[in-house]
Amino acid sequence: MRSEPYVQVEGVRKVYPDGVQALGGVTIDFRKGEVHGLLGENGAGKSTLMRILFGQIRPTGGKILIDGGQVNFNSPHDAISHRIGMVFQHFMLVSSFTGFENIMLGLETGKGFRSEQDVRKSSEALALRLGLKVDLDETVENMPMGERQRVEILKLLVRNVDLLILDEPTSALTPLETDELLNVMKRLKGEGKTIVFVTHKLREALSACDRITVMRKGAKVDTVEARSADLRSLALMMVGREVLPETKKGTPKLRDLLLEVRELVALSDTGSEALRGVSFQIRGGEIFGIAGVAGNGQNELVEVITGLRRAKSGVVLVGGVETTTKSPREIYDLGLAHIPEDRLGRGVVPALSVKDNLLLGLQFRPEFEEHMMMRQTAIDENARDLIRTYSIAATEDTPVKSLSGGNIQRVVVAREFSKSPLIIVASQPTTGLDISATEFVRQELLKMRDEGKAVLLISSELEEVTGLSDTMAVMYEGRLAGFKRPEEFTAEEVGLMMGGAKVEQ
Amino acid sequence: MNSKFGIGGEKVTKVLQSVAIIAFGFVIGGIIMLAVGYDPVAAYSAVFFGSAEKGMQGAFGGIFGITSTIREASFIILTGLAAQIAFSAGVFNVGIEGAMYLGAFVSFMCAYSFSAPPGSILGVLHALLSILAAMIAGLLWMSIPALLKIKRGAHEVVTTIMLNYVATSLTELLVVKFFLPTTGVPPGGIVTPLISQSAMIPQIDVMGAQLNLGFIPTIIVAIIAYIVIKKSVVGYSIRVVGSNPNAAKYAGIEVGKIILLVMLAGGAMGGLAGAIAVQFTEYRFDQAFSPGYGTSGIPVALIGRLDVVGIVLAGLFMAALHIGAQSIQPVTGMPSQVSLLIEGVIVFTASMPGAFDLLRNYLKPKGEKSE
Repeated sequence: MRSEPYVQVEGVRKVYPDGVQALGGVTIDFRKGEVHGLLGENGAGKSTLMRILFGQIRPTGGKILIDGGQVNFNSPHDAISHRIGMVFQHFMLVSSFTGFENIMLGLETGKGFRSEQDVRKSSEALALRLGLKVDLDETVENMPMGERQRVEILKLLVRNVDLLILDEPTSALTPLETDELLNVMKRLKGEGKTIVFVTHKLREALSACDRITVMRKGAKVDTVEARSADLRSLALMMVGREVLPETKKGTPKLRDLLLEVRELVALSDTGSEALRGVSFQIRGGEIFGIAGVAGNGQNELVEVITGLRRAKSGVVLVGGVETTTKSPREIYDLGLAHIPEDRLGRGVVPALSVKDNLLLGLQFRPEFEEHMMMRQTAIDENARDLIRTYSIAATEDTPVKSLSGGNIQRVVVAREFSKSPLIIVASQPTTGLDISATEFVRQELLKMRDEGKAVLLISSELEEVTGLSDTMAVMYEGRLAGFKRPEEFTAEEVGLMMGGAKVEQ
Repeated sequence: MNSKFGIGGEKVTKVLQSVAIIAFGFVIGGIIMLAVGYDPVAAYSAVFFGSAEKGMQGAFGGIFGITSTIREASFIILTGLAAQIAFSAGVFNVGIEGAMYLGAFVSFMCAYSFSAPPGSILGVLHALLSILAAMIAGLLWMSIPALLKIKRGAHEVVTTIMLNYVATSLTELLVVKFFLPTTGVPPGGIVTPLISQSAMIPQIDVMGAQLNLGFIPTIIVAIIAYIVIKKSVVGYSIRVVGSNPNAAKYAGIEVGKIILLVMLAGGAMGGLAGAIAVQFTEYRFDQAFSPGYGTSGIPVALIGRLDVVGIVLAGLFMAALHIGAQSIQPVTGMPSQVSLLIEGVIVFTASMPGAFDLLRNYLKPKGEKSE
């Protein structure tokens, strides 16, 4: 059942203004009436490519062809008028509107005008024919995630979209809702629609797709027929064929148990179960690394450990003290330091000076506070010391927002390490940093380990986890699997675990 | 050394920016006056220096002008500081007016219901306790929107504006119901009888003019505000919360407590302004005592660029403008509607740099990065 290419991307490149290359010339063809899987880890370029196809960002080079003719999209509007639509991972609905009002939104006036009766009639007909269960008059905020997603799909179908991009559509769904979605996808395909299914989940890709394109590091690895592919080959393509790098660090000198997590269960912001029973232990002098595609519960895990989110059940012990219901401040006092993933949004106060940022979280300590007043001389001296020790390219009065990403991370690292912690939780500590800053952060983490601290390293960059960890595990849908020394893993095994195809041996 | 100079440089730019924009406001006001057919130079000179032959002193043209400007400034510097401490924590507290009315009424009740021999220790205590009661009343009043915000997420702009109406109407109702019968139908508006003499803070005679001592508590509050914001750990926490609440949580700062604190502090300052109106100025509760002191605090805070010293200067500036504008009509014959319009234009333009400072904080740049 060969069919002609319907939509093609040809040599599409994207270089961001800061010089980061997100896509390096990708060519894929999508056929009429197929479900086309797009598989890859974080940063593989899947989302960037899809946002280009949806007209949301403009490519630096390359072209998009529909039925062989070149098109130019300046906005999602253009894409939709060429019958290409996208459902984002985070839904774009007005939550105080009903399902119908959301579908209607943008059709009431102007070029695309359609009467309410007309839209309602076609929504109802489409919903019935495709088995999209949507209560059109229910307010979106009262809908479960699955139904919201169906509103999004319906919204696009009413606009006569023929190519539907679904970005990680199953990540917010329950297993039952996922099955339902896969059924809807089959019916859409039956109607001749093309579906691009962006995912990192291997099993779903294999069962739902006709063909699968695997991407890695901004490039296409290959497009394969789903029938002839298997979990192993996909996993290998996703992670890469290179052997996992050897660790160039000494054997750990293990000390006391410092951080213990037992059967942790926690909810995400949307109320779904983000952690489904996570347990691990970290001793002093050890780096425990958690690999995995972002969004599988890593953020929630970090937030529960650092006191920023309450667990539903389970226990966290910091130095033997239960901290499950303690505040961030109490947990810091027990010797925990936290290098957060969201550097600018959480790790620093961009408008304040380097000096003030180096004080963040230390402001209550007696060396900096006396009778509720700040001990400015001590604060200044401390800032100058840290700036020198960590080679931060700034003076103590420079506002942090004018620093480079690498220097901002130096500020965060300097501050957290200056707390003389027992435990360091480092979340995506090198994202967006240049090579020298990355190397600096990694060396500092290793130094902390050699000084006998416990380090929890969470990163979606696989080389980082394998290179630094003494023990590592892979996180998938709120669970950990693996728990071995990095060199005992094969690339294929890690890929399978990241794609959820191998949960526990 | 270098960095010290850099910070100084930033301050200098801010001051120059503000001065330039205020001058620009005056130019626009001048153009409007020319368009309506009046001489802007004569009008502006009337604002600041009055006119001897017309018997007007403007804002600074004589002792009567100066004392009026100082009286007016005491109120709006206080409400400006109340607005500023909230802004610093990212809270938009528009409820100072309501807290001020509540404070004024409570100050009146305490000052009216009790009395002590004036000048005695007991008398001083009576005066001080009445002021304190007003501050507590403002504080408690402000706890309503503060708790609604922290516990239920109700936006403070909406709740405080609504509560302002409740406060002004409630105090009006109480006066009409319980005090108007004794004062009779008022030629002087809705007013209560005078308070006990022991609670009155006297006005000082300066060359024939009455100097209101309200500036003393205002200066005390300004000094405290300066120390708290610049030097204390709480002030540091307020700045962190105002600039990045996520970072504040991460740093172990309890954001809810800080929001409560800044709103209650603003309420207490509003209450104090109310006590000044009653015990320092009118010696009774006059329903019409405020020409909008509470809401004027917001432009004062903005013109002062959310800086304590800046707010003191901005308060003096706005008070001068307001007092001086009353000389325009008698001196130049310009209708008071036009002079009010000019005042509005100048205050509006002068607030712009401060408003942009705030906006810049709210609208953080978002990167185009994906994945």
